[in-house]
Amino acid sequence: MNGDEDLTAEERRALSGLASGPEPPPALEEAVVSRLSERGLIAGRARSRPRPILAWALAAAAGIALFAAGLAVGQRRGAPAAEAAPAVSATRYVLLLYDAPGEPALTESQMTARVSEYRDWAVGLRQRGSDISGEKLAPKALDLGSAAAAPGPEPLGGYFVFSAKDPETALAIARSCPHLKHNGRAELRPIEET
Amino acid sequence: MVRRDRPDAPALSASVTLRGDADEEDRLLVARFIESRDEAAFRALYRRHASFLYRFLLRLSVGDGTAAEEGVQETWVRAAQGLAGFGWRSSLKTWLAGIAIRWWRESRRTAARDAELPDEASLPAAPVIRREIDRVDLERALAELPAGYRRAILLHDVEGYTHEEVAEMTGIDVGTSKSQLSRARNALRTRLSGRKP
Repeated sequence: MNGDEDLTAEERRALSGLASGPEPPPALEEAVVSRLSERGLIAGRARSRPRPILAWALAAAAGIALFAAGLAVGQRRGAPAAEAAPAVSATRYVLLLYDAPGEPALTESQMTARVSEYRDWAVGLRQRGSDISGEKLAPKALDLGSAAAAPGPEPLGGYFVFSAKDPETALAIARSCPHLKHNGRAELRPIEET
Repeated sequence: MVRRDRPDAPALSASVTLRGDADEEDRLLVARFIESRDEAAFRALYRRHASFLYRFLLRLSVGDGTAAEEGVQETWVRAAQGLAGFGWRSSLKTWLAGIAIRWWRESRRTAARDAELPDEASLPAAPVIRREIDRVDLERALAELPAGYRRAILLHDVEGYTHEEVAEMTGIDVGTSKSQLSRARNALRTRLSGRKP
């Protein structure tokens, strides 16, 4: 058995039909180009932008523990489109995501689902004009400073950075983050431009 | 600040498409990309091959879209790093597939890799199928196959690679590729006929 002649016509037709399978998500092209740009493999693009959320979310899915917390500021899903696009004079905000206290480790399938949920949320915002980006933080941290400044009990698992025209809009976007559904804590803070 | 700098229709892509030779188009785009790291050239290459890479990795990872997207990204990063040394001993598509397969192997755990090609050679020969095969049933049966069998069928029977090309991209010899495909087809027919291996 060493070639197509070993397949029946029905088998050959069915198998070759799979060559027209699912297409990659449209956002993947931008994620690939951004990753190449960050590494200097493509000319002519700014390299100071934060890493796109897709790249981060996929890195998280590659096996690093996914952050799993949320802020008890609400369960609203999906900020209105008008809120997602920042104005020219927008303020940048950081949404800090803390791991949920006592949450058991996620299984692989749970992690995949969680990553998809976060990614879809951020990609949805970007498609509506937001500049949101995010990073997953490694679980280990180098502790600096005095003991009096010790962090709280929940580890900081990741963050998003985005622009919004005013605090209300920023809060609306933060409240729509799926992270909040997973019983953790988040913190929204304006970034001071220095 | 919002970035909307996606060039939707690179002029380079339009100009080379007229030549009608897939391999020659790839050569021109690669040459342009190597020369100036041109984004439009890269996007044209991406659009020519990303569908195959995504589809292949998605099925290889049993429908894990996140893994497939990560695999596509990493394949292109490695390709962009290595294109200058690509000698065109194979087609660009074959070379990219080899990169994707190596990434996929690396991304899997050792235990999973060890179980990639379990010995199903002792399965009784399943009858060939002469009825129409439902696509959903076929996808499900493929997903149930050991990863190495799934890869063999995807590369040869779905994507149309020759045994020589499969051997090159997977690092096995031609005879091994043939025997793997034979066992993979038998395992697939076993599942499609409702028999549990």
